[in-house]
Amino acid sequence: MPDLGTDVDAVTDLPDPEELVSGEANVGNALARRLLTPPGAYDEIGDPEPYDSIDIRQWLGKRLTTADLDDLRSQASQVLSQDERVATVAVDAQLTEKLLTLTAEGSGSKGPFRFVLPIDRLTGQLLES
Amino acid sequence: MPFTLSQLVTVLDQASTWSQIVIPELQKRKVRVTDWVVGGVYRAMGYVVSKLSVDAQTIVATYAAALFGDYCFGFVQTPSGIDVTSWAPLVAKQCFGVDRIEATYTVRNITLTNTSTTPQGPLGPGGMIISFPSGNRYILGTGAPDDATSITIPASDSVIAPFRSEFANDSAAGLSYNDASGLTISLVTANFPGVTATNPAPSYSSVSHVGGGIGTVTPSATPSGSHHIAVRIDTQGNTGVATWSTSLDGAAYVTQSNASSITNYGGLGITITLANNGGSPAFLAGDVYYFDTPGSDITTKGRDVETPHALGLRCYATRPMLAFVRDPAGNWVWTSPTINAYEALALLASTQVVVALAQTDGAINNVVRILVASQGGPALPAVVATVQAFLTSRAMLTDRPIVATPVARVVNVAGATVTCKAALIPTAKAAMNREYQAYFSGLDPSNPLSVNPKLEHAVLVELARGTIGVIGFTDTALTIGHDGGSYAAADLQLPITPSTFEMATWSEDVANVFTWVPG
Repeated sequence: MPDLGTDVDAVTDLPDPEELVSGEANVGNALARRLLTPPGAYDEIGDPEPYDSIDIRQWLGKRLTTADLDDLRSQASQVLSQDERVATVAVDAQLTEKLLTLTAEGSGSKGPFRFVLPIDRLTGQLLES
Repeated sequence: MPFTLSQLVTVLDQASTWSQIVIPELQKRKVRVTDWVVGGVYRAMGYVVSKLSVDAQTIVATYAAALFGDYCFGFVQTPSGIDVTSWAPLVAKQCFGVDRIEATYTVRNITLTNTSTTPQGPLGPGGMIISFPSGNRYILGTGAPDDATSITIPASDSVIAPFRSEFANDSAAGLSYNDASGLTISLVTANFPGVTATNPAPSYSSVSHVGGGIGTVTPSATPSGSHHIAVRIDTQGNTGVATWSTSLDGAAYVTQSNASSITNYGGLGITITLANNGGSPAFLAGDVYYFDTPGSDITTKGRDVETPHALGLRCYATRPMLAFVRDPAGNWVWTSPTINAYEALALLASTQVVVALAQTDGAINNVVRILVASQGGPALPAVVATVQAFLTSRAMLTDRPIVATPVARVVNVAGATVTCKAALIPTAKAAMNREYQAYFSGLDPSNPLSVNPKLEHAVLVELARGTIGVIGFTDTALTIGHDGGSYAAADLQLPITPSTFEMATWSEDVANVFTWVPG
């Protein structure tokens, strides 16, 4: 079985004390980080590998149209597909009064997967994954 | 174990720091992270640490390298390539007691003619701005901290006023104020109706005198050519009694016996007249009078800020000068400085001296010839006199330093075809002009030219090829010539006139002398 890797259990901040996570949860964290990292951030720290990412919190705090949500879905799908552990992926974005929820469904090296990323619309805070 | 100097001044790049420091350290600590895919947390932290490590290494290497003169003066490049030459002024002052020579303004005399019946003025520093055809602008005043310039342009008359360059010299930024005399000048400040500005060159410069006699030496008549003349008093007396000699363009002195005046000096149409000016004896032995023909409206030649390389040479030259003896009373006694020390002293004597060359005379015992030049051309007579007085005042027991300035030799380039990226052609032309101007003016620290230099074909090719945007250059087609002719695809060794001292001057535009092809 392919190893999905072990890394620090972190999405928006480092845990204290340090905790590790493995397998599908690790991949879920990695995909979530691709949706919460400004483009070019890894260039700034000198990582030579290309890394596509968006920060969906930049969509928040303003009026989102249907076209904006379509754009968000498209960009999110594109960046998540760059992870080598993802074979196919489609992202849906739903906006309620105070909550933006992204749902990613696809397949990877260990079969199909689904994860949900809800973000509070007013504060841009990740509520749970 | 303490770090070696090589280790301190070597800076690894981030990739090497990652692979040689960070990863081995993590492996040594047996971290359990296995996800090293880009975007991983530990991977990101590792790259942040390696980036911080590179910053720290750079700080250490900078501080360590700057302590060594060879690095901070630019004589040797640091192993990691970091540039610590910005430390040169600090090291020069702290370790050698030498101040860096700062950039200066070019100052010239401008004739302001008023054709109206209304006088204009008084005008103080900054009260008028003029522009030359080159685009260079000059501002009324001398630029000195205590500038007290105040002029009134009288009605239906003219006045001569000092104007200083808008900015201090900075060749790298294209700020060179070597405008010729006799050009068409326009007024930028337009509120002076009837006033025009000109900068005529007199037939002769003013005469600069070194020594204590009050007799005068005056050139007259209509001269031909460009020359530097020195008149030396050999035995004291009044005119008709004092014996004197002349030196043309730095050549050996030739006696004029006790003549009161001579005409057609050197076949150049120059009359030289001695007058007592109320003195008796009017002329003292050893006094020297300097003048040029033609003169210039420039009174002070501006210069760039001293390069780290030049500053370092002056600093290192102070060491030979420390080896002086004391007399029985414990006072330092000047003895014969080394050649390096003479050159360093000449550079100290005047900020307008940027090139100095000392040579013992091949025929006359004890004579040391000191050739001095300013940025972009020979030194003004007043500068030659200043340096001569500076050295003469040291009353060296055995040496006879004789200061002169080389003759300007016009150098030309031609023949080459430059292939350049189309969008970069304008900037490439400007950059190549600056590089060539710096080289011929002796300001290129990698290829410093002095008096009687060899102008190297390979250097000109290298400078052209190194210009941003240039992707092709016909090396073998480049020719070097002088005075508008004698072109050859080879090095050019000065002097052209044997047994003289010459320096190269170049005022062409590569846009016109080379063929430019977009690539």
